[in-house]
Amino acid sequence: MISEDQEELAALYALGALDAGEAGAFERAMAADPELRELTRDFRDAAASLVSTAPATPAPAALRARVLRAIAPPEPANVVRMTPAWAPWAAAATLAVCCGLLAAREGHLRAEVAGMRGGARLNAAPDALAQISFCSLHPLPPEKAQPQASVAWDRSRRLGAVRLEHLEPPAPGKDYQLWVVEEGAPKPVSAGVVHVNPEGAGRAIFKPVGAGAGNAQAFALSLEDAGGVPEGKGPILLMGKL
Amino acid sequence: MPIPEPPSQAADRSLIEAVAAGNQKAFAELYDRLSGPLHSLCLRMLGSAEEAEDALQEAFMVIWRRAPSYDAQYGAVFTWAVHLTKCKIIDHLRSRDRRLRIVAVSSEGKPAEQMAANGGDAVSRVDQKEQAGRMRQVVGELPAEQSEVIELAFYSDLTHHEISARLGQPLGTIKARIRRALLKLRDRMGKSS
Repeated sequence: MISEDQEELAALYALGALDAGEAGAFERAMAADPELRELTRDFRDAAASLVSTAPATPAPAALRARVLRAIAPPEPANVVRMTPAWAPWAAAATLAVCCGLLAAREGHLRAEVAGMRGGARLNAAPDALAQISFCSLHPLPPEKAQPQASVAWDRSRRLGAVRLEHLEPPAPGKDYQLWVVEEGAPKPVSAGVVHVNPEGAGRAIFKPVGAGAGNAQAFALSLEDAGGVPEGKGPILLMGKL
Repeated sequence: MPIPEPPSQAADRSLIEAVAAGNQKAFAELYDRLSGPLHSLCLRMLGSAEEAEDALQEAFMVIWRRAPSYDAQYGAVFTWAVHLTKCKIIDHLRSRDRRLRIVAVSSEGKPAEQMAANGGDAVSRVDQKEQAGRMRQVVGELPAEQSEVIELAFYSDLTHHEISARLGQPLGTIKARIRRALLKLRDRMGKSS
């Protein structure tokens, strides 16, 4: 049973009209009394409804844009933006890519453009997604089979996820190996071997070996000796840049 | 007697759950639903369009960050948003040493349905308009001395001791008026829902 005194305190508390000491004491009392908590909740709702009795004054449209911009993750160039609701599976849309870094390595590679879809999974909280970039790797040159790779890259943690689709199972003694190309780095950094199943699909979480890979510029997939190699020697099959 | 949850409250709750999961579209929709009345609150308490915008933006940033911690036990989403907005307003007031300043804005305003002019469906706009109308009626039915004291308590950041001094009324009278006013609001809100 709630007394009149308690009702008064609950009303004053709901309106924010108790001083700090009184509010603290009331909160302790409320914590031990579910009925008082419920009454206070109702009083809070009643007090808040005062706001809706005044004519609503729409906030400026520019403010809305500012607020929504403030919660959006930063958008790096050439990166497919993901919204948190569907971020766990990133869908990399069409990217126009032309990467010369690895082309120079092979001498005759041509950068081509291909539309592709793919995804990658990262166990990341919504806030952490601001640090994640996405990259699609494309065949060089385009092939009928359309092998695809998608990379999600968390710069802050130097952690990535890759998904491969429609690749031919590698020949015996061979493996697919992922590479990270850093700005100004003399050589690509190995991100490890990615195994594919008989359908040509594979997924892996990777953390590149070596320093500085947080500043990744591009990713490439090559066919190397089984188990991976410290320096790429085999053919580059897919590539794409952030 | 608990107040039945109106449809708009259920919609707000669905939205805040989506916002808590990081859904920016839901956040935009929630902004469209709440920004009108919250902006009015900022304007009324701060009396400056520029400060009102700053406070409202800060409040929505807090809503975005704290959405996962929203607890329906506290009150409706709107109640929670009002509380967070008032905290930001009070920060502004205190930082400018204008604690006792109360600025009343003109009651001449734009229609309530414009609060959702940037989004929201027609049903929710009608619902919000109807609810605002009901609340105006409920508050309008309060005796003048009760509506005066709860508005002063709600909008001024004054304690009941200060309200008593300001109005020149005994503390017991102030407390009793506030209690009776909120009991009536609560009961009539329940009936009007």
